[in-house]
Order: sequence, then structure tokens, then C-alpha cells
Amino acid sequence: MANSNFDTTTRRRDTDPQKSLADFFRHHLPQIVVSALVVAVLAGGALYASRASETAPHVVYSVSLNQIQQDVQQPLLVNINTADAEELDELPQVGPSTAETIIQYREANGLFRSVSELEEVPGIGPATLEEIKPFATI
Amino acid sequence: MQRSKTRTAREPRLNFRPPARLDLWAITLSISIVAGTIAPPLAMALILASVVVCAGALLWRDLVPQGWRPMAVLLPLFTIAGAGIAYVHATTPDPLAELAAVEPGEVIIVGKVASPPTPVSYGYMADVRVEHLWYDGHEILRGGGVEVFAGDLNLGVGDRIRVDGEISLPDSSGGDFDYGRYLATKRISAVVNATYVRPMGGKGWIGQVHRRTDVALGYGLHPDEVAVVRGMVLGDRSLIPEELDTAFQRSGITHVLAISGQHVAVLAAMIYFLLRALAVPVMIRSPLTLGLIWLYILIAGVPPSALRAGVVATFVLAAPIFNRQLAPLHFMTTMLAAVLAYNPLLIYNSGFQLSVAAVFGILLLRKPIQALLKSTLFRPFAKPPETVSNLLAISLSAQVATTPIIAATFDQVSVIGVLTNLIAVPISGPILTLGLLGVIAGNVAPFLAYPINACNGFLVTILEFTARGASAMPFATVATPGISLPLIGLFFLGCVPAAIAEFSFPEERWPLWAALLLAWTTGWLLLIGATNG
Repeated sequence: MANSNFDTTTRRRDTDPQKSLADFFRHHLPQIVVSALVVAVLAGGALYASRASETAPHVVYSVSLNQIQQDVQQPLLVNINTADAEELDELPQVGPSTAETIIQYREANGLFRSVSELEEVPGIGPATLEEIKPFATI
Repeated sequence: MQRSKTRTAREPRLNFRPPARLDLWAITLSISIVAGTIAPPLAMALILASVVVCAGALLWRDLVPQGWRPMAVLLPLFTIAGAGIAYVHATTPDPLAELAAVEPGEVIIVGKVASPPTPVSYGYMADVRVEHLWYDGHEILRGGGVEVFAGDLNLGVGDRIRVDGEISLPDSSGGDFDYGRYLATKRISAVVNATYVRPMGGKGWIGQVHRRTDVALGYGLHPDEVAVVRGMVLGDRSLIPEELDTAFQRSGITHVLAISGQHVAVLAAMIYFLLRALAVPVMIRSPLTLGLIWLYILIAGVPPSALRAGVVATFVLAAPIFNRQLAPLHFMTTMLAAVLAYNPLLIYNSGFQLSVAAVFGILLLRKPIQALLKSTLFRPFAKPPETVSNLLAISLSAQVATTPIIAATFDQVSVIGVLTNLIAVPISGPILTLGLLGVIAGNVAPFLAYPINACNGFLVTILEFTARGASAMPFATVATPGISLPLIGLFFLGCVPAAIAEFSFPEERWPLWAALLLAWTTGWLLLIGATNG
């Protein structure tokens, strides 16, 4: 005699679904509240761990990463007419004594008119000049 | 009237006993976090599915059993929360990694050493927690972690140091192993090749404990034995010779050298029963035990397996205080939810994977396997030895559950481990206990440490002999290169019937499902071997 529309004392069907849902939420309010609290605590822990704990890096002085990248990638370029001995020393195949010789030549003969004129400096031959050329300018 | 008032006062105010079942909240949250971390579209699919289930459960009262209806209705809460937690972690900016990516050259870092210096091919490496980072004369960052490589790092954990060196991203181009992701699981964003390292300020207290441990263990133990005991007590395996480490791996007992649940359980039992013997009240005994356990985990460097064990131990010891029942499976899933909410990248950490898989394997597979052993191997006995069958069942269930992870991580699976664990696991507890006692005694007076360390040396010798002997056998391991994720998923899918046997099938069927499980494991290994020639 089972009939899905037949009300019994153990199984009642509310005709107003909203009322039955409200009853459901009212009846299970403790579970819902505690579940929400647990989720809030775990989410709060996740926020703290990811953004506020000591393991999370944070910026204290803003620098442009693009600028840093440009500074790092900037090639070595030494102006042989204005560089001092320390800067000339950074050129390949140029040591402290060769740097001094370049400065002496510059003081005696005036500014270099081209990078190739370095070959006139004692101690700098064609092979050394080829290595210096990419990193030297006037 | 009075009687009902008393009964009401005695009952816990938060009542989650049936018929309202919320058991699946933690596993739902964990799965959602994992999906959100590994494959975000899958997390969206899970959320959609949970919303459908929720709507269905609200509209049709009989869609799910009444007791599970609240769980079905609350499903979207946990799936959305899990996906949200994964999203929060994934979208957290990492300025340290961004700086390292442009390889700015020399930086100056001041921070604290977070791990014991480990020898590498060209010097030493150690993790450093960054307090300040300077570039080009400006302090630009605080916080985060780097891995420092230097020619010499005579430092201890907690020591404050200054490091000058070149910062860059970790090299992840080496084969299957993603070094960058491995470091990310430890919240390390970059590597620094140090040109200059200088201690600043006093020594860290954890480093002092490590140094005192080394000294105390040296009273009466050979260097090899000191290295093994040190590994078990402090979780630092850096001093164990490579050939011995390989022997432990091949013999399937390398897990005894890691700080794991067993270590935490042994320590907790030691402290708890000592305090009980000293008549310390239970309300003080449990918190004190917990505090000392976490102190130990901190000294050991908070490895993921110890973190897992510590969280579960917290639940186990806190349960009686809050009048909650002991529910190991629920504690494990809750631990998973808590730990993954804290750091979802731990799912990529093989130590964490193995630890979790082993415990779930023991919890779900032990009883069916023990039933199989009692009905087969121990059938001739009138009264089957419970301890031996239990030990064998635990060893087998842990081995089965960790097989695919070991196969994928180490490209080999130890077959002999089923037998070697029967020796290694029972004696690792006493080794750890005697090791801790030896450390304490050695720091009080050296002569007290000698007899304790001598007993320990005997046990360590047995352990080393077992490892070396088993690893030398020709059938000790099965090679398993090139394991893919679908194969791992397939394996665990095949384990499901045996895992749910305790809850779904009558007890007389458990041996059958356990036998099918072992056959499935063997077949899977043979399949791997066949596909690799």
C-alpha cells in the first residue's frame, strides 16, 4: 500500500519546501557554524603562511627589476679618451702597465681619433687590438 | 529533573555523533586543495559537482541517507574553501624569486641557518631564512628562504650569518627531478653561490643541541654507528656513508632513518608514561607531552613526515581532554587538511607522500591483510601469534601503499623489505630510545653515556648487518624506471576494494580482497618490469 503521497507518522512531507529547508538549516545550525569556523581558521592559516609569516618574502624598498636587468646586461664599454688607469685595466689583455702606457700616449699625442689608433701604443699589437675593439669607444 | 540536568551537563555540548555525518569534510577539503594546486580546472569541476550534489540534497530529501544530508549540503563550502586556499598560495607574489630570476649579481643576505650544513661535491650547502637582503647598497627584501652553497660552512642550525654571493634561481633542467619545486616545498625561492660567509652574533640553540648530541653519541659508538643513531635521533642523514645509505634503501628499511610517526610515537610514549609514573595529572601530562614532542620536531628541522606525525599526535593527545573519541582515520584526514592548508606544495614532497601513504595503508589495509595471514600462513597454528601477524600485516600494508611512490621516486622497489622490516621496525624503537637517553646522559656526564651507547651500538650493528645483508641479495629490488602518473593512479584504483573491505564487505571476505590486493601489486610490478624490458 506504499504511496509516495501518503503521509505517515514517521514520514511527513511538508507542502511548503521553504519551511522544510528552513527547518533543515535550523536543525543543523551548529554543524554549519562549526564547519564555517573550521574553514575560516584553515583559510586564515593559509593566508598567514603564504603572506605574513617569516617564510614569506616581502619588499621593503621598491626597485625596478627591468632596471636591474639592464644594468646587469649592459656590456663593458670603456672610453679610451676619458678612462683612467683602473677603467682601462678592465679591457681584455690590458694590465696595469699597459693602461699606464695608454695614458702616457694620450698625454703625449692628444686624444685618440679612433679605436684602431691603440695599435700605435707600445705593447698593443694587432691581435690585442682585435680583442680590445668590442669593449672600447672614443 | 536533577538526573536529566546532570546528564545534560556531562554530555559534550558539540554533538557530532550520528545521525549527522560530517566525516568527509577533511578529505573533501584536502582533495580540493590538491586539485587546485596540481590542476586548477579539476578544482573547478569539483566545485561544480559539489554544487550539483548540494542542490540535489536540498531539493530531494531522499537523494542521500538522512545522516549524510548535512555533509552533502556543506560540500560546496569545503570544495570552494580548498580551491580558495590553493589559489591564495598560488597567487602569493615571490619577490625573492623574481629578483633571483634577473640574476642581479652580488647581494648581501643576513639570516639564520635553517638546516644542518650538508657536504656537496664542491663544498657545503645549507638553507638560510632571510632576515634582510641588500642589493646595490639598499635593503630591498625581508623574509623568504635561500639555499646557500659555500666552500666551508662551519655552522649550526639557528646561527645568524651574513652571506655575500650571487643569487639565482635553482637549476631545474636536470632530468625528471625538479629541483626548484623541491626547494619550493621547503619555501626556498633561490640559491646563492656564496663568496663570503661570516657568523654574526651568538650560536643558535638548535645548532648547540646538535653539537652536544654529536659529542654525547661519540662516547662509545663508532663513527658509522654515530651517523645512524644521529640520523634516527635528529633526522640528519648527511653523515651516513653513501654505501650504507644505499644498502638501507635497497633493503627497504630506509624509512627507519627518517623522523616519522614511529619516532614521534616512541617519544610520546616515553614522555607520557614517565610523567604518569611521576603522578603528573592528565590535564598537565598531555599538554607537556605535546610541548616536548613539538620541541623535538623543531630540533629535527620540522621534516614533512615529522610534521604529519606531530599534528596527528596533537589530535590523539588532545582528544581525551576535549572528551572526543579516538578516530585515527579522521585524525589523518584532518591532519592532511591542516598541513596542506599551511603548505600545499608538500604534496610534491616525496617524504610527505610516503609518510601519508604508509599511514593510510596501515589504517585501511592492515585488517584485511592480517585476516589473510591468519587464514593462510598462520593457519597451522592453533592460536596464531597476534603480535607477529600484526607486525607482518603492518609491514605489508605500508609496503603496498608506498610501492608506486617508491617506484616513481627511486626507480626501484625493495621486495625484500617485507622481511627486513620485521627486524628493523621492532629494534628501531629501542635504538631511538637509547639514542635519546645516551644524548641526555652524555650531556650530564660522559661516563653515564658509555654503557647506554654500548647497548645501542649492538642494536645498530644488527640493523646495519640486516641492511647490508638484505641489499646484497640478488632479488632484493625490482627496477621500475619511467613510472607515469596514470600508472600510479591505476595502482591506487586497484587498491580501493581492499581499502574499503573493512567498511563494505563481511569479515569472511577480507582474506579474499587482501589476496587480490597482493596479486594486484605483484601484477603491477610485473607490468612495469615488462614495459621496461
